[in-house]
Amino acid sequence: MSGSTLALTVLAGLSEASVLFLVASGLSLVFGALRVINMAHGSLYMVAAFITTAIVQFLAQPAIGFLLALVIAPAVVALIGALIEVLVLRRLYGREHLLQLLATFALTLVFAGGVRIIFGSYNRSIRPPELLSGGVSLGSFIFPTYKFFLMFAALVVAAALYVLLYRTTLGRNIRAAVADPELLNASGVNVARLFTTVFMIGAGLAALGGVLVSPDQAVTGGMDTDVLVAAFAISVIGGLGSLMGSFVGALIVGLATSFGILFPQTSRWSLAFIFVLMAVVLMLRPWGLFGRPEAT
Amino acid sequence: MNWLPTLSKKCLALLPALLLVASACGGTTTSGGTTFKGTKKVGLSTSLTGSVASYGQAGLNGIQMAIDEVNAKGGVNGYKIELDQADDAAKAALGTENARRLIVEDKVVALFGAVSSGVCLAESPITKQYSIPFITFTCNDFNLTTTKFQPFIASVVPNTYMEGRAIANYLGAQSKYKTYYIIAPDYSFGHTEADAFKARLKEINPSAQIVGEDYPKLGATDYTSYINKIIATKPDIVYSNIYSGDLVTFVKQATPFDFFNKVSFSTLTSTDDLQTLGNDFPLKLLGYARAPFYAIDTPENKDFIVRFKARFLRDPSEWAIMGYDAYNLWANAANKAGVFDGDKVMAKIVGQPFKGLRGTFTIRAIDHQANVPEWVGVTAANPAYPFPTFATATLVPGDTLMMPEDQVKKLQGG
Repeated sequence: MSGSTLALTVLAGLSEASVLFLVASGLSLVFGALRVINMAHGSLYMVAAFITTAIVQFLAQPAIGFLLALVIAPAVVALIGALIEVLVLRRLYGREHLLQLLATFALTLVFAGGVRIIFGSYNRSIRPPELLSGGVSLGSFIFPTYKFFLMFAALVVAAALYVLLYRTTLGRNIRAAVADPELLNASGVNVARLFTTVFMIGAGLAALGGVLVSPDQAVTGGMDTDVLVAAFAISVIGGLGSLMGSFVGALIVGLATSFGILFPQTSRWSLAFIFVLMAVVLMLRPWGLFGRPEAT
Repeated sequence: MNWLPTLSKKCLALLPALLLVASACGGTTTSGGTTFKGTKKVGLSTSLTGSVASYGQAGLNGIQMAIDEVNAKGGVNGYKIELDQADDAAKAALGTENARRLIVEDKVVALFGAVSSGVCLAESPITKQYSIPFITFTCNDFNLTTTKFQPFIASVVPNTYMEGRAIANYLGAQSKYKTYYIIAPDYSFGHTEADAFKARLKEINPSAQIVGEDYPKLGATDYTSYINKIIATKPDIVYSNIYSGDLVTFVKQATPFDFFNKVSFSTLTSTDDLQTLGNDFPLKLLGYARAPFYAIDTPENKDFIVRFKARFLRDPSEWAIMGYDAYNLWANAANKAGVFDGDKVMAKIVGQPFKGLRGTFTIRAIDHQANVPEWVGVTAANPAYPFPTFATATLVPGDTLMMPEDQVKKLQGG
């Protein structure tokens, strides 16, 4: 394997990991604090992607449209998230996980139908802003500028999430909810408001992922399912509720996929690796690499 | 039976509602000045969500337009036809569930095929079980008409054997292409077409080498690793049959690598994907297409384009054209049969010339495959459209592509 092939494979894995991290961190955060596996997390990602294409196509200005979408889509989706938390999830806390799964699965169908009615069934495509188009020449090979931007965006969001979780009162409360929700309940924190806020942050992270991938892939009505499966695998591997777990889990999944594809002998099995890894983690450490065992 | 007169009085009292549910009450119905004996339903289970939904929506538009036009001329056997649609999201399990529900509960008298061949392969046995004509116009795995053949299927789309041969003939004849790389979606369509391509390529250019093969999953969202691998392998040309959202994603992610200037690329070139990418669709790409609207030189197609564009505000893609043909094939046959019985309608479909938008074709008796053509060409900017088209679209006649009958028999186990 040449040096450039190795470098390109690592970069491909890192760029795939970037978006997956954004989406998985939101899913993981919501599960950690609310103990809800949100099957509609991928739907929120998809809704943001469609909003992005609508804004960019309406303005016919990729750069301005994209910047506006980076603000508007996560804000709109966070509000949708607040509605979901208040109207649906609040009725299900403390109930068995199956009910929560069914309710959030029902939401995926509602969103799939809604997106089809509002945006239609045709695939959509938008260009990245001019500044982020094309490729960066790195000696003997080229790598897309936009993929570097995705990696940069993921690092910025990871840093912002770290500050939020470890340097603010809100973050302290969220971590307390992840560690011991019952104790938090007894400590005088407005748990209902905290849960709504956490769900909005989770939805916003899914939306940010949706906005960021829009210039890099076709925006389709099926993008919700694919990302949810990958985000779920990352969360299980890294540990549901752990920011570091999402980060490392996304890196593992991204790199395992790109290296899996590289070799002809493993190319067709690259997807299976992830789920084998997930199964191994579940067997040996069911709370994930960076998660904590459920308090008994 | 005392309830019958009572029911009729209720129907008269509720005249507006009666018009809508006339078939349930057993009365006649009037629509657009035409009086019908009643209403019958036809079913379409296709992808209306997911990465291939563009094709499903286009097919739905084509069928809906055909139904409305036939209804305006009196319908089928005096009945108004309504379309009962269901989304399969390109999942075989959902397609099976849809097919059974449409046939058993909604009593459709014909079923039109899905986008994904995997879905059609799952639906086909159900239509056989209930003797319902199953007309496929997008899914095209040749197993549908060979190893999994059943008497109620009819295909108006060039199958994977025909399509694989058409593009292999086109590329294999160009001696500059000695090394090939294959990229295809990892399901029945992708594999059977790639196999047909390789088999034909070996016949016409035995020295050609396949230097790499990849089969990403249908609906893949990151092709970066595949793109890197193809560039590193340096093939003379790539044969691809990835399509719809997958092709759009591939093109978007390959373009920054300067991929299309480094590697010759050949792929299924659907109007929907041209429309989605517009002028970002690569030029000088060696494409193949099943029914490119701009290349079909029949008066029927030219008229159709105008009507379709007026109604749906976009040019018709292959799936709309073939969906339109599929419905008209069934409607003509049902009118000729005078009934909706599956076996009688199929008897009027098979072996009889049918004039569609692509010209006149025939459903062959042995496998119920139509001798429809394929088009090949090189993409170039076209000032008439906001997307590239084939500079010169070459029609490859269906008769030159059909699987030999002895091979069909062998595959059918006969």
